[in-house]
Amino acid sequence: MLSVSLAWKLFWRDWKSGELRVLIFALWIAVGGLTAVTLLVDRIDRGMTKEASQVLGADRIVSGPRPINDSIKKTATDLGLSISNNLWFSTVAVAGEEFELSSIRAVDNFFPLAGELEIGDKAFAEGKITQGAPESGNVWVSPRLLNLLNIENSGQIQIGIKQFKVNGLIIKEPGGSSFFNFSPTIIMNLQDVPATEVVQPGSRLNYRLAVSGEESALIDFDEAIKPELDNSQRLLGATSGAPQLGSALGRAKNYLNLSGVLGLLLGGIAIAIAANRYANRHFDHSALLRCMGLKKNQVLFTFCWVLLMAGFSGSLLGGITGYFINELLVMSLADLLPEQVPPPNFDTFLVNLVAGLTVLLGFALPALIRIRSVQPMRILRKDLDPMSLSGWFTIGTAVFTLGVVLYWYAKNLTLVLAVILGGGLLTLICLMLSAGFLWLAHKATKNSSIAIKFGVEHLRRHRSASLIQITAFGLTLTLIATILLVRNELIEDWQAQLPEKAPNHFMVNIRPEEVEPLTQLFAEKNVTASDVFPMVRGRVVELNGKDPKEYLGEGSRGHNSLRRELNLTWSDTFPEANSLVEGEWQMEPSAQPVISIEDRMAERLQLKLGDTMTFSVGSDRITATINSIRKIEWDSFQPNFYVIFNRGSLDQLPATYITSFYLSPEEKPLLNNMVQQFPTVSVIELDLILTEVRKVLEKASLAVEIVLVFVVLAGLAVLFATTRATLDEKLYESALLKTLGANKAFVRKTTLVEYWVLGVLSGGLAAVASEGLAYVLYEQVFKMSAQFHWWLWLGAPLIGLLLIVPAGTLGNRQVFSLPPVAILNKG
Amino acid sequence: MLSVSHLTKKVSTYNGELIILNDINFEVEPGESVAIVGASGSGKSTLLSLMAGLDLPSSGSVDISQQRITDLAEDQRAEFRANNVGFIFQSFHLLTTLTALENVALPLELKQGKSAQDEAKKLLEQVGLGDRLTHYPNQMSGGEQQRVAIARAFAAKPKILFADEPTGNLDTKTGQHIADLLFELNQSQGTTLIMVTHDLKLAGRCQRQIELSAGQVKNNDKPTESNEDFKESVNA
Repeated sequence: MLSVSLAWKLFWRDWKSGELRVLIFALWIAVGGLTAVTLLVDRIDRGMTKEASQVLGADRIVSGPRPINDSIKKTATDLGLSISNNLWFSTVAVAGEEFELSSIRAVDNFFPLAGELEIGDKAFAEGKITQGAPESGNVWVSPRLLNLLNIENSGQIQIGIKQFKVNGLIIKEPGGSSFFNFSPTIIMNLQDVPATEVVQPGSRLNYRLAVSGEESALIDFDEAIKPELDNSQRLLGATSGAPQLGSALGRAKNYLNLSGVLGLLLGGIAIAIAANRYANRHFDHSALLRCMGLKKNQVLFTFCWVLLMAGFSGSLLGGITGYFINELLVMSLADLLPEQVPPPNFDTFLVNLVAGLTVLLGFALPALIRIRSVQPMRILRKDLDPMSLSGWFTIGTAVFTLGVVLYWYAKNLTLVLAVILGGGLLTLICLMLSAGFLWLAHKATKNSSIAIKFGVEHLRRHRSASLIQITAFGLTLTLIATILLVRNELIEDWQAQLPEKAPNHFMVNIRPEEVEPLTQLFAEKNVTASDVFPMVRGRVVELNGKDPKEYLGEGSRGHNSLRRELNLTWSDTFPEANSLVEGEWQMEPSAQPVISIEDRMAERLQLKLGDTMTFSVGSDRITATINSIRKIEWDSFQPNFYVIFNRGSLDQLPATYITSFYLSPEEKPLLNNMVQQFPTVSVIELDLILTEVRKVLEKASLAVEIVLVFVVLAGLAVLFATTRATLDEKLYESALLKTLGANKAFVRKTTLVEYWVLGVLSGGLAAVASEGLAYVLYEQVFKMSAQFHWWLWLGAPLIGLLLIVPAGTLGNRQVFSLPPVAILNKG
Repeated sequence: MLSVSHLTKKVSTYNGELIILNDINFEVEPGESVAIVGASGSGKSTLLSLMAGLDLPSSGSVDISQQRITDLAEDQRAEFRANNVGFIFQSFHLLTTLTALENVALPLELKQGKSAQDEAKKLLEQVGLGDRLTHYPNQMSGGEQQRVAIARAFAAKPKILFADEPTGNLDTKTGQHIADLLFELNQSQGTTLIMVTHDLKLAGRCQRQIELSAGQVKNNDKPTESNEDFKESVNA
């Protein structure tokens, strides 16, 4: 108790005298920045997930060939989640003499739980946002079904044995367009399904339970139902259900996590420097307390308490500031942020407070241990500094704390290890290079003016302090540069992935004789289209001559390709967005089937080059040998195939063709021409889903930019803390120099020289380090190919100068104005 | 040489205005050595800082060699110090990051703007530290550090030297050696010496003592017989 009450008095005294100002300021900035970043990241993250769920039509979908268990529905409703029951199946819609295979979505009145259902009267025109199912006896249909069935809106169609009236066209539907859904959609009321008598034992049905609600309840829901799902049932999340969005969202989250982590790292540096300064200034206090009879540990606990009190004040202040900055940002960026920004999460706020305190203790511990070891004799002999700790202990404590806290935030061991190893490597490089650079600077300025020489010598003489400063500045600049690099290339990569004229329509069911006139039509109308691929639907029935279940063994998850029909194609050319992983692409046209398969499929199905796969296509069985393995960019919006045959091997089978093409909104009416000219062809409109994807990407890029601002601010806090840490000495030296006859300009010049050298050196080091760090991040975390950045080697030293010189000048302004009389006050 | 007239220094405190020095008047001749004595808080150090142009008075003036330094701007006063003034402090105030040689050369370099290591080396040899040129202050004893400080003070050949308790941090024997060195150099270079001290014995070695009490001159003694005798006995 003695420690606490004494600590409180010390804290209060230090607070009033301004001793704790730097430490509290460092914590304030660090926790404030961190809170603003993490709250924003968390909210944008949840907002983006929410937006992605609009593409899916719900936050979660449980789907399977049998009715969803009531217990699963009860779990959802018990957790306060909204549910909607849907049944998807394919059947033929008939109107007079015409008939067309259609995708039926039988929905209840709660459909859709997320996203927009837009129903209109005219194709490709604006409709009305609608909620719920069509009235019993009515259906809404894809506009092209009217052409295919040769009827008008408000016409009659027959599904099974029941007649329905078409009373709306589907302009936009959530979760609608899918690569594998080639037939036109019909939305009907779930209650009407029994009357159609389409659903019979053995029918291929897809029962879907859509679930939406609070994030925490959804997480509980996932946990609760996973054990209940059988092999045929799947749980789709916001990202897993819309694979086109998955990788972009995943990268955005990785980036945001990384930024949060880097902000924290910068905060840690600022805190370490400030805590060290506090401890150094309290050695006399400690000696006095020891003289007065306090034991070593009592001294340690007393100062621990003081630091905790300061830590709590700084963190709380930071937390509150961060919260308001975050609110302000969300308010001012309302138009640009995801449409529904969820409220801030109080847990995030608390986590940041605890993280602030943890980082404070972890980084300040070595300094505190030195306070503990101050000898009472110091009261008589000021030169008796406490023993210095082993560098390994200091570094070890900091790195351990950092590792724990980083992992706590990022939950990604690779990322944490990359940051720590990158940091460690950077520190080593910094120490070696800056020592060398300082020596070079010393040699180069030997015959310069006294002010320049004095500034450079000052850095060289304060070797350890200079190395710490260069490391801290260098690290800050590295982090800023790394974020800039990663941000630029993430955005460029996303844009490259979705180029302006990315195909936004797929055309399937093209008959062989239609291929020629269709390509001509594209050429006439100047439409950008991909290659035209033949396509045969087939199912995998054997792997290396064995039944897949038997081949893969019990407990294997298998692969999607075993659960449904695959689109098989043949080709002589290597498709775009594909890259060869293994084997040879060259496949000679022959009747002997050889195939190229996707790499992940090969892995899941435990297949290698030379193995065989058997497909059932209609009544035929075809066995083919694997000749090559490919990697596919599924995000490319090109026709992509798990399995590609050599030409000639599927000739005997009836094939249709597939292509993808780009139409601008103004060119949309062209679709009517195409559908009229090729009435049996099916067009899948991906432009709506593409717009959604682009919107999510734009918002992710914005988040990236906002977060960058905060990391730069946190970096400036480090600069400020470092400047403050050397302020006492600078004040003393400046007063002494002025006493000995130096003028203000001399003092200013020596200080400027120091910060110029610091800026250039740390910038140079940052260029080396960030290039290396970015390389690791690209290769290991973002799975992108790394690049060399020449501009970094000029830009980093320049940014170093632009940040460090003004920050140093500002932080040292007292040094220039302090009257020399201060020297006499020191005795 | 030095003339102090109607010098007053006031500072504002929470309890109102505090008068530290009140209407101080005296003159010092060229080459004279003067001790300023008085109890703690009597205003000795403040007077020293005003005379050296480290601070400005609330009213009154200080003239050194016909130059009114209280009218000069800060940078002009700095230039004046570089050319005319030397300092010795109780806590030595050496730059810990510079060697003995570099510390001594510093005022010369500030004055001339170029390296002055040869002159500095001579001075250090004069104070008996010719073998410690490359040593840093923390590698030296208190007495050695003060000898470096004395060498530094004389390096720029100042007209006037201000010493603030120059032996205050040293044991009696070392203090005595330092005082000897100080007076020796003072005499050989003909420098005017103004010294603030508590030590009456040290004050007694000066030609004159000015005693301050509560911010005012209580006593401004002319040289006495005993002082002269003492000085002679020391120098003998």
